[in-house]
Amino acid sequence: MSFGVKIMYYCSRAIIIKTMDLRETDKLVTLFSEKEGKIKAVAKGVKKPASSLRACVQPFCHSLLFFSSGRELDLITQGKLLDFYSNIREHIDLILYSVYIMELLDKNLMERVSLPGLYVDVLSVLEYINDIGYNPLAIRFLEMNLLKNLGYQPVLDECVFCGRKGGLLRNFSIEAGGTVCDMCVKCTAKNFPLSGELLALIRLLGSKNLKTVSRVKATDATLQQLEIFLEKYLEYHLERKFSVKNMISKLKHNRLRIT
Amino acid sequence: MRLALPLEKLIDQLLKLPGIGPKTAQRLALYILKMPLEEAGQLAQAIIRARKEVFPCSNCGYLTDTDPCRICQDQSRDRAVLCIVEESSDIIAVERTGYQGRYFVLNKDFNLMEDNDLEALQLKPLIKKLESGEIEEIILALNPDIDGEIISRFLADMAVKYGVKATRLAYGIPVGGDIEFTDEITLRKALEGRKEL
Repeated sequence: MSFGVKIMYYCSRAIIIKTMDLRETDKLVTLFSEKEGKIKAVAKGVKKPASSLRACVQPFCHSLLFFSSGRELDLITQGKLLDFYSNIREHIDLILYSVYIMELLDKNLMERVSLPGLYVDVLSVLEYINDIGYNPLAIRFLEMNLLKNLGYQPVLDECVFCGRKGGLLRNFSIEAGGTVCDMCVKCTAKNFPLSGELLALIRLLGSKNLKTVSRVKATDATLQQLEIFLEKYLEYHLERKFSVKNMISKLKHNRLRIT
Repeated sequence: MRLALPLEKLIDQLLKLPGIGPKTAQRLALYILKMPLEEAGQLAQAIIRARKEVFPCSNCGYLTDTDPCRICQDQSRDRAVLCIVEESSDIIAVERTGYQGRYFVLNKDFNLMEDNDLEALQLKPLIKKLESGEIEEIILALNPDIDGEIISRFLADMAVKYGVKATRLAYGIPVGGDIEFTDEITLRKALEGRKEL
């Protein structure tokens, strides 16, 4: 039973999403905490060289943070760095993929909605990238699990229009959010064609853990199709464009326009 | 209570400055009112003059009243070393160290998550410098945060393509600092970059 008493002090493990300058030496930190979900909190004095909090509030660090509740924003009072992911910070592509993960969290999570399952998934992906390196399936795994946690998991085992199970499901309706059977394919104008390999891979992403997913061997063409599919699906359902993803693509294909 | 209209306007203008809240703006406005008219006029003139006459140097981006700036004109400086900084204020800090090379200011707020990507950095003048073959080393003196790291890695890759050596500022414990209270990342980086005595 709640007596309407606000908790004054609390602690939680958290992944730092981003920081913004606030006043002379303070920073406004957006973080994804294990217990409270996405929150914004003030870290006082972190721009001073002697600040002990500074290391704990760097983007995509994993830290144990202590908070005191404020009227509008909570205050980070103490912190302990759990992981800095130093290998990621050595390579521009790994940094960019990690920033993309943070962008996904920043733009899509609601404040104060706890998502412990997604928290574990984000940690596992960061650890994987740090220890093993870049694997496109790790990023796709996170995108799919984000959709799942936000309630946008695609329907993959039956036709999203008629509910028919079995048979060939060779198309996907991004708008309706599911696979379409050959009978209903005329119902929608925009369909995404699915190969058997691609459909199996999408099903796997939403049902298995990262360890299993990362071991899957898929052709480059299928991986590219999967990336395009999830990009379209994310953009349509979350109604967002992801700038970091766009920049990664420009860098990868040497399309950066130098001004 | 309503203030006199000119005073209210002055407070409104001061409020636009960074780090100035309503109370500070009011205190500054009242101080200006107490100043002799001549001094207040000098302050106003200095603001207008600086705003009109100071502009970024066409060569390096540093704030100047002559083009090229005095640093670029100085023939005694090492033309083979180029220090890349984010803001003109960073040049003031680096100049205090006695550095004798030249500079390039990026002059742009880069924030990847806020839709400002690398295309906004205006790097063409820098590429021209790298192409000229005059530069032997670029020193990346950018803030050691994630955005600074991305720009540094990107510029370092770019410099290598032109056969130019890219270096960055070292991480370490500040002079007079206390090891006990140094954060673990700085200490780890300081250990990695330790020097033989």
